[in-house]
Amino acid sequence: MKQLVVSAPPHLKTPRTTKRIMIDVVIALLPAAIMGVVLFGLYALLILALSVLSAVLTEYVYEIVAHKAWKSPSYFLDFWKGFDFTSVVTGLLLGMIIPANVPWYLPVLGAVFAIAVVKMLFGGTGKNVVNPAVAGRVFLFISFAAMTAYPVGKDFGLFAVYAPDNIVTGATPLTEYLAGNTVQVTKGMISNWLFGFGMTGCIGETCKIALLLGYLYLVIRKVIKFWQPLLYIAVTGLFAVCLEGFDFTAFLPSVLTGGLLLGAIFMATDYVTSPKSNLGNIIYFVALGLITAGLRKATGIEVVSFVILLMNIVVPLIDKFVPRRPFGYVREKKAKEVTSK
Amino acid sequence: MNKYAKITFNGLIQNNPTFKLMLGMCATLALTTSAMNGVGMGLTVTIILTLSNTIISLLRKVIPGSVRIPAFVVIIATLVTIVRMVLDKFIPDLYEAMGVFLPLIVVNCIILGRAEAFASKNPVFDSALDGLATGLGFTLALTILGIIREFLGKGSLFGIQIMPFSIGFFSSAAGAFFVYGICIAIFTAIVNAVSLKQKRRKALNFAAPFFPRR
Amino acid sequence: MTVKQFLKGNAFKSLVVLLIIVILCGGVLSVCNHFLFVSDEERNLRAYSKLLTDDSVKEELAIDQTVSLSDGSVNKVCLTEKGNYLVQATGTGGYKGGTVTLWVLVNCEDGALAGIGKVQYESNTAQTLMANFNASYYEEFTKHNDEIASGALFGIEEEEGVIETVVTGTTKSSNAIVNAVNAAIDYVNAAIFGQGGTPVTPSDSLLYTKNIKSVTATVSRKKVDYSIEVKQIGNVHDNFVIDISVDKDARISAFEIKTNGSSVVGDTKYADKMADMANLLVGKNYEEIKALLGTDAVEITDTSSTDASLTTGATESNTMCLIAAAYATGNYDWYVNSGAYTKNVKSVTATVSRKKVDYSIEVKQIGNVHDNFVIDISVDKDAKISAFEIKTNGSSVVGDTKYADKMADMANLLVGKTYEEIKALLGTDALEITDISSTDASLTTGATESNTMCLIAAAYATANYATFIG
Repeated sequence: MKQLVVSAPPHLKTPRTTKRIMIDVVIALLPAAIMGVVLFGLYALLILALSVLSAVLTEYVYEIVAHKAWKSPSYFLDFWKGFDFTSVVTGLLLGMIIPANVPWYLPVLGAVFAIAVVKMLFGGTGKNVVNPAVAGRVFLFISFAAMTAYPVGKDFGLFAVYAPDNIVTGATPLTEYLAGNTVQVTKGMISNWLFGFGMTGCIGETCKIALLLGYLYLVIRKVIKFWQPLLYIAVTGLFAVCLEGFDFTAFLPSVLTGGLLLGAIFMATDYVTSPKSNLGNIIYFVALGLITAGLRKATGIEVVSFVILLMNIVVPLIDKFVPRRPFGYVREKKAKEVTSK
Repeated sequence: MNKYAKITFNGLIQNNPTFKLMLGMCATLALTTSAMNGVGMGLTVTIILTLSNTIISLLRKVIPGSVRIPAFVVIIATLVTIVRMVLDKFIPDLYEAMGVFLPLIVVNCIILGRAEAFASKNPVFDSALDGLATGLGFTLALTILGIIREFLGKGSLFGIQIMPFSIGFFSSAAGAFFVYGICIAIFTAIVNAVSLKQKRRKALNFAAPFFPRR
Repeated sequence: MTVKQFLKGNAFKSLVVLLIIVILCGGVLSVCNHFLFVSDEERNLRAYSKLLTDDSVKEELAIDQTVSLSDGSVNKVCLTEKGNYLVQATGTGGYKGGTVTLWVLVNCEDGALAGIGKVQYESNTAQTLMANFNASYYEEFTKHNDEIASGALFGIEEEEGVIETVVTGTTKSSNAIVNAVNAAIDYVNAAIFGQGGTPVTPSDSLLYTKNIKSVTATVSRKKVDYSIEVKQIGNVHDNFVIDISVDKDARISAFEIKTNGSSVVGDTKYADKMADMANLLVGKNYEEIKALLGTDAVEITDTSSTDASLTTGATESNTMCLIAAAYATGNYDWYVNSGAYTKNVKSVTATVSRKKVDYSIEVKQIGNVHDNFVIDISVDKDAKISAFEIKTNGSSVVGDTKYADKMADMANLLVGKTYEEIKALLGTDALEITDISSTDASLTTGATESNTMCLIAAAYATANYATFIG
């Protein structure tokens, strides 16, 4: 028998900590956030900052009260040593999925709700049932009418484009499209969609190229699996095409407008609120795509946040019925090959 | 404490239908969007509960055990219908505010529950008192929920606009569940803390002869 | 078991008790019902008293079916004790084609519309964000009574004669609400006060007017040359401008698409997919063109009835050409013969919008007047002249005398006048003015004929207003 190593756990140390992963997500979000500020002005920066600050402060205050830190004052600083940046990600994401012209208290209230109620009340990091940023956005959407008036992003006029007549009052290309108006899909229009010039929408969701850069970064850093967002986006687009009577010109508008890219890359792939098994994930993302396209067609408003919320709640059910591959499990066939050699 | 005080205490706090027994949630969640509606619903249920308890207690020796549920339901339904007609005639605003939940009081578990658990086995006055106390406990709970939801969700209190700012979430169904849950948590925490204190005091009193104070 | 056993048993006792309880309860309920019954009438009264704080409903009126309202309809009209009108109106044009229904209290004073007293939301179809409209929004409608009394209406865009009331983020729902309020105002004006409805006119409505944005028609002898701007239908990108000539047999003699408004989607130019409309339509008369349209309706809303031969991949564009041709041939007779004062007018450009018609009229010279006049006239929703401007004055210049200077101040004189008043100035009921023998004496200023030509233009504009509005 070879050497038996006896030591205290953990036996396998890896540099992948929650903090590291969250920092990666923040870096991935930065291009879209910067483009959001460029397109919507400095007030958007204020909103993002307020959202992040509120989220972090809420977690801090909650932990202080929960640990009764006044009895052991060292906790006031110990908290920051164990700080795992999850609230920074929640705050930044929440800031990016609200319009740029909302009053200042909206990101603050949304962040407080997202962190205190959705994350901390359920048990903190890793224990939330739904994605806190998505829940925060839904909370704001239900509560305030200001969430429905989207401003128009700056148009630097780089691409000559035919503009639909009433884009100025804030009908996003998606609502235009869903209300039955044909959106003329020209090359210039697609370029504007990709770069977010002159597009209406939330702060972080208009510049698709920046979001795709973030996606590539996350895939390279192995934070998310590359196929998950792609599956969601592809199913949404294809089902929308089916619903429009197999009209393939509907694919690009339904994919490139609205919050689909942001939701698919950053919010649906959250570890805590997605299924644990591969098959479960496939079911999850396919269902997300079908329901998103279906609800968009039926209601005519942007439903990505609601659908992610809905599917998050279904995830425990998926986990219950779809068996996971146990850690270390090797397929029997391959094991037989190994032994027979 | 004496019997009547115990009954009252039970109805109001120990067996509070909303926060402890969690009965009648449908009406609770739907009608607490404003404090006035909450009070109105609570008082209506109180009246019906008291009357139904009294009548059922009066008839408890007459109604055979095997048909007691249908008999109770008929009596409760009659009472609810009479109250409906009275409200429709004299307080149409409340009638319209309650909408479909007024006839739903017939199947409100509180009323049938108290009839089955208490009124069919106890004398008239006790049952009436129990009905009154439970109803008041229900009203109290609805009023608290209504005040919170109306203040946060519309910025007004009993119809008077106090704050220009409001968070629509609390007026919605999601907010109803949320506020309800938080209130149950707070209520349970308070009741537990108080009863813990009382138990400690009792234990100290019991042990006092063995641990004389110096 | 025996009967006696049954009668003594539990089941019988239960049945009896239950029956007695039910009968007793039923009795109590019927007694209560007798005292506490609320009738339908009482319910209606309650609903009305909620809407009218210090007023009450006197009677409910029947809806006047002859009043036509655009973008909305009226469901209930009640006259109140104070002489105001409580109208339940539904406005179309909302999000996803839905509607909004409102109660509108229209205040009236001295036999005329004075303004809006109250607007209360009732229900909607297909709208999603009605929560965005709070009490202060509806109150806004009651704050513009002066403007409404002088004819303005509500709208969602900044326009002349339009009070802008819109909530950002819910433009379409605002549109429906505004249409409902306007429908109430229009209805009261038309049905109760008879204003802005069908004024006196000697001719029938022109056909297809609702499909046309503007028309320039030049009439010479038996030929009419049109330049017609057809409003887009369905998915067509923009309006078409088509030049059509109709000859003395009421057949199309020339057809040319000046501006093709077909869509361009990617590399597909729908214009290339159209049928050869020019060749198809030249030589056809109204009946043949109507057959291609496939319907007798004088307003075309979709291509569902268009003849199958035109389903070339740009059916809507083809249909728009058909509409222009139908207008040209169908109304030929009116332009040449029956319109009021058409014989005095060389050419007319008429642009119709909501209840307003903007004309540019070239009046043929009469008597000694040197040349034709070109006059721009606007007629508003009361069929009164709202603007009058002489663009080209064809008065003679004899030596040092400029007859233009001798004209009366026609603009000031004519603005605000109706057809009846202008006809009085013309002094005759004839629909073709040949001389100035009957012109009112007040216009004998030394350039009577020029003045009369202005009168003719004004008469044409007001008399044919209803025909163009359709």
